[in-house]
Amino acid sequence: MTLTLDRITKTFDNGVAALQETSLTLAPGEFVSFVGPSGCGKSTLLRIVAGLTAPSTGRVDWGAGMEPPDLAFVFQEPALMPWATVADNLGLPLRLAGRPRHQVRSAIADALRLVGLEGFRQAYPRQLSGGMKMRVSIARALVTDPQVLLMDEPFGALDDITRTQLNEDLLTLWGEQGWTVLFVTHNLYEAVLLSGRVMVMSPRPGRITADIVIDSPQPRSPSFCNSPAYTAYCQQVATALGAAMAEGASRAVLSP
Amino acid sequence: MSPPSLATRLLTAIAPLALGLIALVTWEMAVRINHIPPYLLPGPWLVAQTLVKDWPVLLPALGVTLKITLVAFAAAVVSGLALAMLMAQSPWVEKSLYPYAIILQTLPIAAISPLIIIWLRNSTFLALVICAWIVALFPVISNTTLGLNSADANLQDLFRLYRASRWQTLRYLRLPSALPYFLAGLRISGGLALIGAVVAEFVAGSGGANSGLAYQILMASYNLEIPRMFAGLVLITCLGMGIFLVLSALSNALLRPWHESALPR
Repeated sequence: MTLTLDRITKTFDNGVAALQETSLTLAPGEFVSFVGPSGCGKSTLLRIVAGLTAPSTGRVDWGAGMEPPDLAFVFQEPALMPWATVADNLGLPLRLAGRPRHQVRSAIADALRLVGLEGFRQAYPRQLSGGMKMRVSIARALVTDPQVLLMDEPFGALDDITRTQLNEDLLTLWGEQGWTVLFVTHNLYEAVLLSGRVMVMSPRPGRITADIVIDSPQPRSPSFCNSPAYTAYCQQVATALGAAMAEGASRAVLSP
Repeated sequence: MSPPSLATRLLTAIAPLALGLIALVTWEMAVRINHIPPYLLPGPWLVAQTLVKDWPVLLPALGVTLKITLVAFAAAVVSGLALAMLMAQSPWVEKSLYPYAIILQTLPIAAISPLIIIWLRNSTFLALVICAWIVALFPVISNTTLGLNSADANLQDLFRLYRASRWQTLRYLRLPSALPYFLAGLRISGGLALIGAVVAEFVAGSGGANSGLAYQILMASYNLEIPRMFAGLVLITCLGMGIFLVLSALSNALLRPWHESALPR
């Protein structure tokens, strides 16, 4: 399954141009990050891929045999139902799909084991820490066994220690599950650690200004952060990001 | 977050009771010292005695008012919930219906209840129920509509992503989101149903066709039986408090596991 974004643009009804023409092809199992300033349209791009927002022009091509439920979305907020237990939150996608009860139960148990929250089946979201809520949110994305995982700044609201922990967990899970991941972040260090490719985007209306391949074996261990290669890649992405920002700034001066 | 100690709990229970007792004693003293005649202001002790003495008359009256209130309240809850769910189906339906819900709310019930009672002169009970229902309906509609429309945006996206049907979105997302709002609406509506029932009874009372509490109060005031009038007022207040307490307990029981309003501090 190869995911192709074909000359996608987006201008909102209020006239705000969010995305300039963007094309991209993702191989199966690829982990691609989108880095850019806030408001650069990276979240919009993700929503277009998810089918939550319609593109103004262009199209998303899923290749053959791809069904929409093969895709899962992780939001910046955990987006859990406060009135439902962890187990019921996890079971939601399957219940909406009308799966039989026993199947839902075993999928919930599997997902809880994967994210290390076996003891919290019957807990309510308010009883969990921010990091645990995000784990539940990720586990909910896992239950449908998706091929493509879309993550919109999933760790943006978490503290550094929790973020590091979840980055490690995500690397492990990705190694086991082999999803195609589209990962939006404003943290370039996170992007370099996790991805095979980092897309650098310009300020609004966004476009991809650099496509940087992080050429290091995947899935990586956190010790990759201590390597000289990691530092070099971070610098490369930072430079590209600086250039993209400068382009945005000059455009802002030129246009009235 | 430890539960309050026994002493704190006792104090919380005793403080309002003590305040009420002080007020009653002051009232009784003022009446006795100033020799206020009972037809102007009876003391609380006399009111209590009257309550006991007139109990055989007041209890059936209480039953009548309670029945009108409960039937009107139930009707308001069912119809309000149904209308709110209907309006939640599309902005068009909401825009079309909502103005009429507001008009219903602004109708002065004292002015229109004579008409309703005349129209339905064969069934005063039904007329009174309709009056109380009109008063009690709006809070259920407005609160539930607000609740149904305030489901979390990310969760709405999630439901769309998983191709949830309209019914599934209502059942699993919008109704649970609306529950705290709905329950708050019930608490307002329960009190209003009682007020609506009493006001309508007052209007109908002059026809003498009914024997609810408001009718008893009206008759007592005509006959200058002021202690009895006060006894009736006490019963209506108790009824209102009872309705509020039951609905608060219901709200707490339903929201306890998850909603901020029901969590111990």
